[in-house]
Amino acid sequence: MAIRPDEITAIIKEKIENWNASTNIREEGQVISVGDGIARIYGLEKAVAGELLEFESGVKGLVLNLEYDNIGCVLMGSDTLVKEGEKVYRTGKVMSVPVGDELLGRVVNPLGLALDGKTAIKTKETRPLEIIAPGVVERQPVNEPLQTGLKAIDAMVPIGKGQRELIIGDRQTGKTAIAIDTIINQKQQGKEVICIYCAIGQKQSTVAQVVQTLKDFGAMDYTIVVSASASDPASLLYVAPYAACAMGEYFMWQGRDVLVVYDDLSKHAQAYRQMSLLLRRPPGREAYPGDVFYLHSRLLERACRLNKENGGGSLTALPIIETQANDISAYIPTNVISITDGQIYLDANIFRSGRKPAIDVGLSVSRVGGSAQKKAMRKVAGTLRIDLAQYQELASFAQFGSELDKESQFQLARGQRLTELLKQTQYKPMLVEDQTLVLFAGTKGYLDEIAVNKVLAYQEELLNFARAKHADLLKEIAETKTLDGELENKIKAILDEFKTLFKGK
Amino acid sequence: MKAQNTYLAQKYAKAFDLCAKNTKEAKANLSCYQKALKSIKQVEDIIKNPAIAFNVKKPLLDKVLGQDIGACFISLLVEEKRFYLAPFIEQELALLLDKRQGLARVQITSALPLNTSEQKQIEQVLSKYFNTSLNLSFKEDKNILGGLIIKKEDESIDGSILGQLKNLEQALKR
Repeated sequence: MAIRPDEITAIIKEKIENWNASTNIREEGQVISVGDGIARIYGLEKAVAGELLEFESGVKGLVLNLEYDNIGCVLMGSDTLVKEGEKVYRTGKVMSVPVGDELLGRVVNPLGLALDGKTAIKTKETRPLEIIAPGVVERQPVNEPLQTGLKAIDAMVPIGKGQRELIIGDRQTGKTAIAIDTIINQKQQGKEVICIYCAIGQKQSTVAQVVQTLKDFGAMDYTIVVSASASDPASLLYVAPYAACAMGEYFMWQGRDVLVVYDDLSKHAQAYRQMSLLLRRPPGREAYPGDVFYLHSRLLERACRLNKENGGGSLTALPIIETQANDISAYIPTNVISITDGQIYLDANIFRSGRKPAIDVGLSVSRVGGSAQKKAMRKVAGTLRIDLAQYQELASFAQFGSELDKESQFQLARGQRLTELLKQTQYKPMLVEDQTLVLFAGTKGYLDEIAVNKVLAYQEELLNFARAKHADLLKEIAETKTLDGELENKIKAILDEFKTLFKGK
Repeated sequence: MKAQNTYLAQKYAKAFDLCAKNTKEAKANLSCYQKALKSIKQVEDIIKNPAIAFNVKKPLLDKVLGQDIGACFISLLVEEKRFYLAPFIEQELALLLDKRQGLARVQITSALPLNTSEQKQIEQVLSKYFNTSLNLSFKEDKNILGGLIIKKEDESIDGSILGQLKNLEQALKR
């Protein structure tokens, strides 16, 4: 495209002509000291905590400390631009981010500025970053499932819309993978779920990879990626999850369903610790400041399912926490575990043994999701948890090589097959009716005669068979309120039919 | 450092100000302090030297300053090793005196010097705007090109050409 100077001149001329000179009346202070992303300001006696300040150099700052004779403020940009003695102005506003449909499919920073090199984002509305979470009156219980598409989660640690489910585990155990699979899975669900992936303190390359994956699976159309990377100032890392939440809340109040992934809150706590220590707030356990619990509780409390009068929208939160050497009793993990409605615990040993997703069934719980599970799934998965728990106990006992009675051998065989059945490759989320069908086969013993290494092949072929010949039954499973005897018999008939087919091969 | 000095200076200034029973006395005290500050200039090097003990400085101070309230206050500062605060205290004392008199301090910056009638006019408009009597001080700064910048405590009213050009710059960037 050729640049036409005359056109540009005309635009600038018009801007200058329409510009009306006004007198600036504002409150002004002075920078006493600046460094490490923190500025201390003299004056501005009327400034309030949480207010946005504007520096003469154009950098924005957030008031965090109000002291006897100065203000401690974190800079939302480079501190090298700010100089000692520089003027600072009050804006009278709290921090807010642009919200709206225009953000869908975009990669933005926590201030809502585009990071994907596309056009500037112009939204009609903005929302304040920090608001008080909706109260009791505005909410209704969580009773609708949010399908992750992962058999192990949907069956044993189900997540409901409006729930807060923590994903916790060491590095490299597939925490982000679960979140990405969940986002991809929303594509094949009937009702649209807006997804927001908030990357806090991650490598730019990792974020780029996630964005590419989402694009490849066509999931970017309904997703916003909010990224504050490792090289951004701590202040941006600190506001990132609140910005992501504010963007999600806009859709929630429109009656839509939203899923927000905070990846990850350990880095968020570290960014806040850095800011707090530089602001000279007293350190507490692990040098975190005293209000680090409130930091996360006020964020996660904003996950919510609104009642009918308020549009019935929901905001589901999937916070992620990275543990060090399996230590879930460190400060931040225990905090977030106690705030959330359950956790999915990923174990490095399970991951290495090849069971992926590497979910530790014993330590993972969902405190509200059960009531949100589809009826058919709940019935099928009812005994799964206990079966697996018993199997694991027995398996560790059987390692000693002692002779086992028939009953135990049977239990061991069943457990091995169920464990195998719960394996799932990445980026291959399954529909709930497919999951129900294969888990039914597993828990009712249809897999018992199949070799363990053939279980996944069995699943694959069973689903192909069912989709080709019995699509109506799958639909029925998805829509059923109760998995009654009649439907159960129908499923059994199909499984019997398939059994002979599979054996013949 | 600046804030630290101001903070300490406020404490000393307040104490000194409390010695006066009324505005008139406070005014007299301030001029007394300023006079003492001026007369001590000639021996400043000795006073500021930390190597010299206070009991050596004391007779010198008495000789130079005399015995009024300003002198007492200065020798207290020297004794407490807070003499470096003296200029800050002077500023704070002036502010406290303004407060006693119900005056608000306003600084006016203009590009060119203002004549008396212009200054009068500005004072009239501003005292109506701020709704108090004012203690005006005028300053020239060629950099602002034209117009006025009015500053009262934290509040600033920027009507300068420079400020407007900056606004235009922002508007064009958008």
